Amino acid sequence: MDETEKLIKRAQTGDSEAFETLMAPLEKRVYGLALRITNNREDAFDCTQETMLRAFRSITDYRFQGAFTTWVFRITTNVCLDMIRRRRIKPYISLELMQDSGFTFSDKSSNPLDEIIRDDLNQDLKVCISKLPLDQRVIVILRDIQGLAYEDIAAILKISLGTVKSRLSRARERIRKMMYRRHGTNLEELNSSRGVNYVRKENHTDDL
Amino acid sequence: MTCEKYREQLHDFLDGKLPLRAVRAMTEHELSCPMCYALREEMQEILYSLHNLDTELDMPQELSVSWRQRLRTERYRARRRRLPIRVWAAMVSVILILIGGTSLVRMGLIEGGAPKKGVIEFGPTVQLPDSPGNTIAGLKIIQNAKFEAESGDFEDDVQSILGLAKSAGGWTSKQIISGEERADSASLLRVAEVTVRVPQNQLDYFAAKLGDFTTVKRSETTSEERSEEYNRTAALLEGYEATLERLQQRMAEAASLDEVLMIETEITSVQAMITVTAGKLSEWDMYEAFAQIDIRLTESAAQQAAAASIGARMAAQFRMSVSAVKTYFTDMMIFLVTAAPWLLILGLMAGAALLIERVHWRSRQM
Repeated sequence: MDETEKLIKRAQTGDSEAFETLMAPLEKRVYGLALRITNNREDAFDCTQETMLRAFRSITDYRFQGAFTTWVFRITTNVCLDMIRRRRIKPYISLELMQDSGFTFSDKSSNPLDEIIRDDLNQDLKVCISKLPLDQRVIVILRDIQGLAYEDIAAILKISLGTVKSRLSRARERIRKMMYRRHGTNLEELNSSRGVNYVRKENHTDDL
Repeated sequence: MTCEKYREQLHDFLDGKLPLRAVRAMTEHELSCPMCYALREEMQEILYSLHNLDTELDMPQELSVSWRQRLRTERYRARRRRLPIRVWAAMVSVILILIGGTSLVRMGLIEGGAPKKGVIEFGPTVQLPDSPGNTIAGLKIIQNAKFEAESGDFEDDVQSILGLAKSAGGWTSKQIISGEERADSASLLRVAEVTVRVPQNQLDYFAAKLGDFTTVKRSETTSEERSEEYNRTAALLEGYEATLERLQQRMAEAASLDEVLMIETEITSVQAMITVTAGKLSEWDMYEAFAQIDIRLTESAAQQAAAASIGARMAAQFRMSVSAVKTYFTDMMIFLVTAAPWLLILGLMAGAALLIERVHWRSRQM
């Protein structure tokens, strides 16, 4: 039995300290997921809190089938979608609001021009994501930002694997087109300025 | 590979889901198609950027503290919400006391309960008088009773009356069931006329039990002293017996046939008188030992209506249920009132125990 499993079992007996220890490495990712889905810092704050409480209340339901992270993300997604449905959160947000959301994306090692370009690119990406329909947005966030496997996404959203794939393709294509409209050749510029070959991490869930 | 095919497989390719052969085909296509190559590069860049979008995400510092605080508050509330075992035990005890006490009232072990409908509890073993005749001051008192009652459950109640008479050590001497027109002339109500005889010392018991399962509308108990008539008849019987003895002596001394025939006629006549008189005395003895009870049991209109339609039956049943609930709670109230002093003491003891426990708990917290 590894450390995580021990913590889960302790949390299942009502040990809140064990639960806090268990959730500490996940809180930032939970917040990030909530922020991307709700597009609103305050809502993301509330959703994160609600996720933690719900997870604590229902941790006895976790049967060690599938990764614990996936289970937590499922709760987060449900909490966020519930909030969106309940409060009818506007799916789109302004760039100003995004900038106000406390995001910084800077590579200290790169040159100022590169940083400006990438910063610009990231802001645009955030706006593009926020403009996606909710069903596509959630999938892009879970897959491309949080790095969950297709199967886990299908389980979280209770949809088929095929639906996950098709929605993901459509979402990525939309983002690409939106980005192209916004940036034109910026991507290529960034590629050339970096002079690196990107090696995409296949899965970075580092499930507990 | 065509560009279309390439684009179809692009996302699986980027996600590393393609088999090696397909990956090779994709790569070969890229070498010959700059557009597809550019597309892949562009998409890869987007995915890379998406993947790193939140790596330097600034999570509000207070969030970490906030959710932990909420969790602790929630836990505290949950702990408070969760009733401790002793509260459950107390609740169960109270319920058991109420149900048990009410049952005692209903079983008649605590006085004052409502009469039970349709339930007959057979009384103690009937002690019949040793010999006919009233032993109290040598008086011959004959008791009779008449009841007019209404029944909600006609057939059962008739059977209950017969069973009650039997259990009291008596018997049924008459039973007639007939129909009687209702006031609204819509249908007939059944009427049972039952005459039973029960030992006189069971008369009160019978009357009380009859009221338990029927609604007694009218009752009449009569006591009649027949001592004088009884004694006169007894004296007459003695006279007849003395006459019979004398006639038998004369018969033994008779000399002629005519005389024998005459004495024999007289003996027959006296014997008949003795039989009648003795029978009369026996009848009085029996009347005195066993009271006659005439019951006129009428089927209640509610029950009769109940047989009419489903709606009426349901209404009647509902009324009965309401009545049963009312009776139950009346019994419960009677129990509560009866047991109030004990319950008060019990409550005070429990309160004191809780107070001591709380003081103890506080002292441990300090």
